[in-house]
Amino acid sequence: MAATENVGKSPSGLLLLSAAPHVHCGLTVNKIVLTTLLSLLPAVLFAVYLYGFEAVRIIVVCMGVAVGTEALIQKLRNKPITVSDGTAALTGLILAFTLSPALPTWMAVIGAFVAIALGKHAFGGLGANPFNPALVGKVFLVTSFFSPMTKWISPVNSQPVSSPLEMWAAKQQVPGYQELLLGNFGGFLGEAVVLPLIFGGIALVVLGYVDWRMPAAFLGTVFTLTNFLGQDPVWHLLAGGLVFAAFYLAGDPVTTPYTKKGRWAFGIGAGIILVVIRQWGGYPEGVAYAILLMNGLTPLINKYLRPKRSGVTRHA
Amino acid sequence: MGTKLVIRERILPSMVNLGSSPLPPPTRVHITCGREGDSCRTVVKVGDKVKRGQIVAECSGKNGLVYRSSISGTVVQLGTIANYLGKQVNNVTIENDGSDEAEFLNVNKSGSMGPEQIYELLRSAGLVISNRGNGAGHATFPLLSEGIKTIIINGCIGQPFFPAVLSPLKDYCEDFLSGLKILIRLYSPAKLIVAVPESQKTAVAMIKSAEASLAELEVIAAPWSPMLSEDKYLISLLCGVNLKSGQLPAEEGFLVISPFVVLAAANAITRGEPHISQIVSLVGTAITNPGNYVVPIGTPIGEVLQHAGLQNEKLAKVVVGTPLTGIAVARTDLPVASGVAGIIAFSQNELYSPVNNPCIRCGRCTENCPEGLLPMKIGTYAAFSKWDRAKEEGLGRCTECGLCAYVCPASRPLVQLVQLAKQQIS
Repeated sequence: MAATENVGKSPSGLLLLSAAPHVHCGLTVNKIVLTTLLSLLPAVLFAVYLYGFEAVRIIVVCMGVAVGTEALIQKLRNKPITVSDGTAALTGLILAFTLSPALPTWMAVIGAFVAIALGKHAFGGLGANPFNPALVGKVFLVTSFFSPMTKWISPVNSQPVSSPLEMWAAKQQVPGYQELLLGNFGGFLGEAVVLPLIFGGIALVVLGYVDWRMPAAFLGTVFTLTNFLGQDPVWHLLAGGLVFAAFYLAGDPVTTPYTKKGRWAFGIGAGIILVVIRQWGGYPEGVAYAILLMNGLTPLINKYLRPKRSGVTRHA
Repeated sequence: MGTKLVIRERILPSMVNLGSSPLPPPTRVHITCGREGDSCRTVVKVGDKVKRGQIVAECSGKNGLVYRSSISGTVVQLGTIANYLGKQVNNVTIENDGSDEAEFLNVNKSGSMGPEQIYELLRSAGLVISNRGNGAGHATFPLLSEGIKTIIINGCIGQPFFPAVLSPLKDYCEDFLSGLKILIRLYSPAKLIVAVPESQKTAVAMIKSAEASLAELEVIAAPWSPMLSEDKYLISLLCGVNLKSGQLPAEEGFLVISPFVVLAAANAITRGEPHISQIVSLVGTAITNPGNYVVPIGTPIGEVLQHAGLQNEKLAKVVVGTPLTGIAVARTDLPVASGVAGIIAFSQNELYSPVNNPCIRCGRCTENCPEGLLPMKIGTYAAFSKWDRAKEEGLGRCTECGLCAYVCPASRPLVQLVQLAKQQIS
């Protein structure tokens, strides 16, 4: 075939050849992470308002060490450095929200390091980890430094106080709804700043970054079970960082099921475990363990809870 | 995540109400002939003069396909040419001599024709006649006089991207109705359904107004789904009948056919015109006059684009077919084949290539998969060469509609991985 002149060609003379599809919706991992970070901004500002420099310290240290750890590990492994996708920074921020503002800096450093190194990169990096990295870091700290990790301070005078769930477990007078929403008590950052987290979380659901089924299942189950057990269900929803967990920990795509049915299962399972821990377990607070245990079950959930087939078969 | 059906109906610049305009005669055409397994022989030699509509190649057998020249001119080359996928196919190249002498079909205008004669006329016009109804997808007239109870005219091919498919309904409504009557004469179906995308209000209105004149006609405005180009899904969606694996539509009494061939049939029977042109939508930001054009089959793509106002410096990619499922072509001197509904001319700044970032297991791919598959899993198995595992996950059910890769935040080449796995298995 005589090669007739190509009518119409690009400046380089060549046309791009690639497989279908030829268009893309424009959503990137970067965008997802950035939007999640932005949704946490009101919560960050509120935390700083409550705890001042201590909150800033914890947040900056966790995020900085997380990013630095990822860069270091990737450099040591001779892989491209991907910190600009923001996932390490997000993990660092989420870890910071699970910590008390009174935690010594060096412990926060260890926590962030473990979260990224053990929780994420030991498994192969982004998308490969079965457990929520921030929670891996937090649980490592709780196990290693139980006392400092449960030292809560009051936002008003920085004096040591008990967290609402500790008070509840000890059958003491607990803060009411208003105090819970406005953070006027001691606890980890995520349990203090409930109101901005509610807004941020709902924003993520409305924008389509978090499947509504997950927080609905988690919160719904806790509400139903605590009600059934004769407790105040609304109080339990607002206390103990459940709101934070329902949207930001259970909303992590990597470690939670990827089917709709799976998300219901995850939320319900986490809710059951959480109520059991709070009611009968040894720890006053259980969101971390509830999420981590369900993370462990996620591969099983993914295997068995599949989407419906279309019903029409074609030539195989 | 609330990202179900994220495709906006107008990914490409829209050209909703444009009619179809004819193109100036091309300088040359390449008539590609012979499909897989056909024994096709050319009936002209290099140097022969042919008229527009004259037969240049024919396949053997009682229902062999007929290929006709779409311009008048001289045969300059016989041989092979690459198709869009790079495979060599038989080809006859005719150079235009400007005389525009035409040859028409032998239509028996006196009295009505029996089905046998109609089939022969359609075959002679270059349309596909097949014994079992599984010839060229929905461009086939099966040789079944009984057993077809429902005919579906699929006006949803290539939607929502290419209005060309609706052109037979909108711009050539009378001829289209004649075509419907021919179908009724051939098959005597109980019902004739014309499926139109519900967003194309003008076309819906126009064809609905004809519902009164034909008793069997029913117009269904279908909400958009990427699966509407697949016969079995159309049947399932419109009639609620689920065909089993390996079952042909004809076995359940269905015939799915495209509006283009209905129009071609009408032109053949009423005017004796052979099927030598194709209505094509030309879209994309690298051309200044997007629209529907009546393209002589075999016209080089480049010439068609030029007539649509191609901006050479901006052109970066040419895709034949929809943006989700089409084929990118390497050269613009390849011909426009029969059945092409749309060509997209992408500019540099619209280009997209997958990046293959790690999967973050967000689940958007499976949420948008019309088949209910797990594309991320199939893709990962394929990437690690575990073809059998990929097959167990439902590889065979993937229709490569492209939605999974469209919504993937990690820009993974999911469709490509599926294609790779399918190749490896066969």
